[in-house]
Amino acid sequence: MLAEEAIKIVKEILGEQITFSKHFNKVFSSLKETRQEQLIEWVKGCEAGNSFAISSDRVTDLLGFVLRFRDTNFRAILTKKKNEYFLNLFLDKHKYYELERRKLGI
Amino acid sequence: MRKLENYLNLGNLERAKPYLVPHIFTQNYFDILKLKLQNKSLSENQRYYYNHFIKKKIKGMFELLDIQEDIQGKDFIIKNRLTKASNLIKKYSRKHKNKKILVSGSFLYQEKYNDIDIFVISKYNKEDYKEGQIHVNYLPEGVEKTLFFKSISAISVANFRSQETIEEQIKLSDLLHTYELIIVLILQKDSYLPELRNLILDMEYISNEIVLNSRQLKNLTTKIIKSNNPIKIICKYMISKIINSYPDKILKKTLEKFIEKNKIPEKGKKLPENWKIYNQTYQEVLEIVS
Repeated sequence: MLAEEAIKIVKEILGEQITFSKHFNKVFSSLKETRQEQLIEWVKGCEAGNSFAISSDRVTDLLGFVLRFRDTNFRAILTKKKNEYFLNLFLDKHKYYELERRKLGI
Repeated sequence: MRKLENYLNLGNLERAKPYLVPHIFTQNYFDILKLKLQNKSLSENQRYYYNHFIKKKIKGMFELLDIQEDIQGKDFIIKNRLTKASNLIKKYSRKHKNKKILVSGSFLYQEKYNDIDIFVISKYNKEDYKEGQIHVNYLPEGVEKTLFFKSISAISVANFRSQETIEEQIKLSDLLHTYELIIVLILQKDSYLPELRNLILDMEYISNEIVLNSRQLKNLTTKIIKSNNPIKIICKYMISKIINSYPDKILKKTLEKFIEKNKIPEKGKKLPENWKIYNQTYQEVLEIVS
């Protein structure tokens, strides 16, 4: 699946306001198809309220959902404003994900 | 070729001075070597002396004493792996010239292993890479002052000797973030080994100032992961470790802040399972503290 297609699908699920991390296209394109599907399913699960959120202690009313792919170095963080809308889909390598997690306070 | 200066440090140089001057180095050579170790710039003359005389004397001493690599935790390292690790250090020292390089991980102490972890300290932010079983990880320059580095280097073969002490502050909020993430990963049935390793490493250090090596960490994490109820064990472990690690005032302030953020679910939704677990743990700590 092309990254542009994935962005379109994610926007359909979470709304047009959702933004994507800087290297989303590049990282998404490098994922295996099964991992790409896993990411989309996980996004659907977050929207449906089936995933576990972590609330931030640094940013008021910020919720973060975390996806950890097995056997790969890539991680995803989906952020949401509590009771409102989804904010950003972050997808990157482990070390950048750690920095992002610290920044978000989750 | 290894960088000889990586094995030397100012403290050792000063201590050895009565044995070095004038028997091996003149006072002038000693001063030049000292400047070099302080990363100070050398004049053209000093550079000439350094490259043509001082460096050669040091190399001679290394060869005489058969100093090849710096080995930590030798008792834990499987004998034939030591030779392999030394060869890897030589190979990658040629590839990454003048860089500090370290071989660490289960390759050194476990019969079965997945990857061979090689760590390269670099001031440039480069991407890690894999060459078959070899996983080359780049670490930033200040890494030697971190708990992570002390842990990986406790069983290691390196082309340098680190003399740095830990200068890392572990905030309670950072520990709680890792703890909360681990609980989520367990509930999602995801792998959580690296996160658990970080949490245990940090908690043992803040509670007892113990730096666990990678083998000890592996043993502990394996026991927890294979247990019937890892969430319960992690929560109890967390409680027992943090109560004596921070002043009551910080514990109270931070935990109350975390309880507050995990208190109210989203509208129309139940309190998530993970938030209940967190708050129960934090409440228990507060009860003990008060």
